[in-house]
Amino acid sequence: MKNTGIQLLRFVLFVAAQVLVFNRVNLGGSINPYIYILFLLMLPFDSPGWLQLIIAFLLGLSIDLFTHTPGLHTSAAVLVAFARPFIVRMISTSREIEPGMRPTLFIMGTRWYFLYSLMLIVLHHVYLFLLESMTFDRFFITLTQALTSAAITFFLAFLSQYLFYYKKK
Amino acid sequence: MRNLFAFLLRHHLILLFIVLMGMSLGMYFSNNSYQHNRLLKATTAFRGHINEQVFSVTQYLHLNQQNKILTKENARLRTFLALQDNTAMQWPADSNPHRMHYIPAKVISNSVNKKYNYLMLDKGRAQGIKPDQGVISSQGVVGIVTHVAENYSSVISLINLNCQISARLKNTREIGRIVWPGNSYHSTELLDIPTHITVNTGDSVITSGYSHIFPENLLIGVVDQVEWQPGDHFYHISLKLAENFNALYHVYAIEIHEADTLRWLNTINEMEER
Repeated sequence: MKNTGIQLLRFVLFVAAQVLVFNRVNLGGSINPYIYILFLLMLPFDSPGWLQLIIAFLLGLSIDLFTHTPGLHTSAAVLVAFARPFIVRMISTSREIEPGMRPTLFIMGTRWYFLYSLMLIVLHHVYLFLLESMTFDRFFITLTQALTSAAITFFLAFLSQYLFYYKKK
Repeated sequence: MRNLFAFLLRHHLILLFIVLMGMSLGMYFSNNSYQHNRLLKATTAFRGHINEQVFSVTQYLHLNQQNKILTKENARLRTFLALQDNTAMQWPADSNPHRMHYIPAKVISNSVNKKYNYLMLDKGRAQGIKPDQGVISSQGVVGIVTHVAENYSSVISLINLNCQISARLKNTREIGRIVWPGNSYHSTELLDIPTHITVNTGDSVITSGYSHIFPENLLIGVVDQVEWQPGDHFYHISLKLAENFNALYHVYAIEIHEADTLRWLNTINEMEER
């Protein structure tokens, strides 16, 4: 129960950080890091799949309300929540996954976390930017914007790991 | 029946994924559906409240720039006023000078880096703002009001893929429409100008006044580049926008009286033409 409260608080904090801070970051016109996705990346491995999908849906919808695009972030978040278990299975690790364990940098190791966050963030950003532009017209421009934004989100993912989880090593 | 339940249970994840994905994509692609509008309308007040809290903290950061823009506007209006006094006879007065009025508002949230950019204003229904009113600043056209709450309203920006407004070239009075191509917040495109018209870089593009959202003769931008492929009937004109969308602070919503009646008359005309 205590855990649910913490997760709920974290949910609100991620939405607030995205909407109030990162949506206002304006680098070179159309680059925008979407850090809310880190909330999904940090959910425990063994939380039920259906719950993860529904949380992702609500997370995306909350972001969408503030950007006036109902459905855009929602579908991107749902996609990430769905893809996460497959990506976890794909990356080999020697660590046993214990109940309630969360995928953090210092528990899973740098190589594992690098691959894990990179794949999911790139998947999310590329899907999101392509769906947003809804055309393959300027495919390479859109792709560049997506990858640049993904790079910033990726950097922030690592930064947040060092800031908030360092002592748990 | 038992097999069905077993099937559902075994594949519940992928089924739930399909349902949620379908719901969100449905919401996204049915851009103007009833649910879509209800959702945005119901949350306008809440979003406005949050945006205003943030604005109350961040507004001080831009005071200098805001003041500069307002001083410039004052200077321009004073010049205009002086002209009007001296040459009162030469300025053709509007046949009905009380046909419209301006509602001042502050921009409490704004974006320029998305494909669908929206603004929020700190004024709403209580201050006389209604959906479909035009929004301008001292420098040019900004957008059109979409959703209104008691004390807040959201505005679709000119730099939004869903926003189209009617415009004309100032010199030749040729009519076209403004459609944002989605690449940069400094520029937009003017379509539907036939190639037998001469268009030069630096020509002003202004509102046509046909939509009854904006009055006539408001500056939208200046022609930046004119392209034309042999065989095309229309130019491909890119404009440099007059408004700096990244520095919007004080804006005005325009209430055109009897705009509804005018729009209604237009629809009747169109129906009769068919």
